[in-house]
Amino acid sequence: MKKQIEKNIKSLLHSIWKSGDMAISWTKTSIPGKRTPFFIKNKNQIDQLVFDTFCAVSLATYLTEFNRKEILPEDFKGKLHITCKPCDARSVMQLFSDMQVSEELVNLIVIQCDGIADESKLTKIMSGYVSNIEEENDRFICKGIGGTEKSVPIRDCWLDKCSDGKNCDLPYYYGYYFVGNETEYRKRISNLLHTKTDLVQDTMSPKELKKLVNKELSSCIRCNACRNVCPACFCSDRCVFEQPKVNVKYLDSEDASKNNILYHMIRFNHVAPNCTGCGECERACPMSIPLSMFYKYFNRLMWEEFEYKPGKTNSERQKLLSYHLGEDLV
Amino acid sequence: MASKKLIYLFPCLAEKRKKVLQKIEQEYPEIKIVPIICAGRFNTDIALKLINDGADGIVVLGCEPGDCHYREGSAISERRFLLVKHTLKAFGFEEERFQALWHKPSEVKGVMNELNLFMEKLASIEQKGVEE
Ligand code: SF4
Ligand code: SF4
Ligand code: SF4
Repeated sequence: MKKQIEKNIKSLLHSIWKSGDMAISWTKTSIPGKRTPFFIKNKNQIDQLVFDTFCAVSLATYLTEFNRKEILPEDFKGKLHITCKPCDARSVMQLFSDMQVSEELVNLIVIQCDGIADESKLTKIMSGYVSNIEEENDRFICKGIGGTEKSVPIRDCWLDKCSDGKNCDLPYYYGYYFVGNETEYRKRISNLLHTKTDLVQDTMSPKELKKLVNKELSSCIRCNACRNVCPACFCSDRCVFEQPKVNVKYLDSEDASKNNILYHMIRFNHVAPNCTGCGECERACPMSIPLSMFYKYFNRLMWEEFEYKPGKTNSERQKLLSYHLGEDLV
Repeated sequence: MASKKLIYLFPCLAEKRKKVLQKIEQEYPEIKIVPIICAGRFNTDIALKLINDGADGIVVLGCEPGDCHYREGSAISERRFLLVKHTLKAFGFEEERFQALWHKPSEVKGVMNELNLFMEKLASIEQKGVEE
C-alpha cells in the first residue's frame, strides 16, 4: 500500500506541476533506514521522491526558511508543494496562523500515514549497523552485521508521537490534497485512545524534578539543533540568544548547566503557544535528551488553560498574542 | 536562619505609585526595585534568568487588567505570567517564586498585604527546602 501511495504522490505532483514550481519531499540515502529532505526543482526530479515508513523528518521547518527566501531557486515563480504527514500538516497550519508563510505560495499535500518508524530505534534494537531492511505487513525484516536476520515489529520502532495518537488529527483546512483514503484514515485515528498524558511534573516535588532536569540537561552541548529544527522556533537571526547588541546576555553564567537550563526554559517559554508537539526537537538532539518531558507539559497546558491546540486551523490566533477587551482572561 | 533574600520588584511607572514604592522601600529594604513602563512590557525571559541565577522571588506590580493606561497591556501580560509560572514548574522551580500583583496606582494597603503574603510564601518554600 505504501508503494501505491508513493506512486499517487508522484502522479499528483506530475499533474499539478507548473514551470517555476518547487517541491519539498523525501528521498533515499545510503543508510537503509534514513530518509533525507529532498528539494525538487524541476519536473524530471519528481520520480526520485520516496515515501515510506522511515520518512520521519518533518518538512514544515523549511517553510520558515522559505519565508526568508533562503531555499528558493532563482527562477522560482510558482507554488511550493510540500508533502506532509498529518502531524506535520499541523505544524504548517501553525505557521500559517502565525503568519510566517503566505498561504498563497504553499500547496499542501497530506499523506495518509499509519505510523512512522524511527531509524535510531531500529538500530538500537538491532544493536548496531543494519545493512538491509524489508517491510512485510507490520514487521521489518532486517539484516544486521554478519548476515544475521531479525524480524522486528514496526510498532516497536514507532516515533513517540505515533504511539499516543494525539498528533494524528487532520487540521481544519479546505485547501490540501489528501493522498490515500481520507475516510479510512479518519476512522483509524478516531479509534486511537486519547488518554491523559502522565508527566513527571505531576508526580515529582520541585526538588526531585530539579535534580532530574539537571541530570538530563547536563549533557546538552547547546548545539542549537533543537532550535533550528523546530517549526515553532522561527526567529532565525533574531533569536534572543544571538543578539550581540541587546543589554541582556542571557547565557552568561559561568556554570554551564545553569546556562543549559535557562536556554531550554526560555526556548520553551517562547514556543509553548505554538508548539504542535511534533517531537522534532527530541528526534534531532544528538545527545538524546528527552525534551518531550517539557513540550508535552506545555501542550497540555495550552489545552487545559486556553482550550487551544496549536495547528488546528490556519487562522486561530494564539492566545498569548491576541487579546480583545472584554474577553475572558484565562 | 535569616539568610539574605534576593527579591526583585518590577512596578509599572504610573505617576501615583510613588507613595507605595516609598513604603515598600522602608519596610522591605531587601527588595530591589526596578521600574518599568508598563507591566505588559515586562520581559518574562528576565524573570526566568533571574530565578535561574538564584533570585528568591520576582514581583511584578501593575494596574488591574482593564485599568491599564496602555489598555490591553496588563491583560496580555497576565496570560504570559501564567506561562512563566508554568515554565518554572516544568523545570523544577517553585512557581510561587513569581508573582504578579494587580492594583490601582494609588493603592497602598492592599499592595503591602499581598507583598507580606508573598514574603511568607517564600519563607515557607525555604523552610521546606531545609527540611527535605
Ligand atoms: S539538540 Fe540537544 S544537545 Fe543540542 S541544544 Fe538541543 S537539547 Fe542541547
Ligand atoms: S518544541 Fe519540539 S515538539 Fe514543539 S514544535 Fe518545536 S520541535 Fe516540535
Ligand atoms: S529560542 Fe525564542 S527567540 Fe530563539 S528562535 Fe526560538 S522562539 Fe525565537
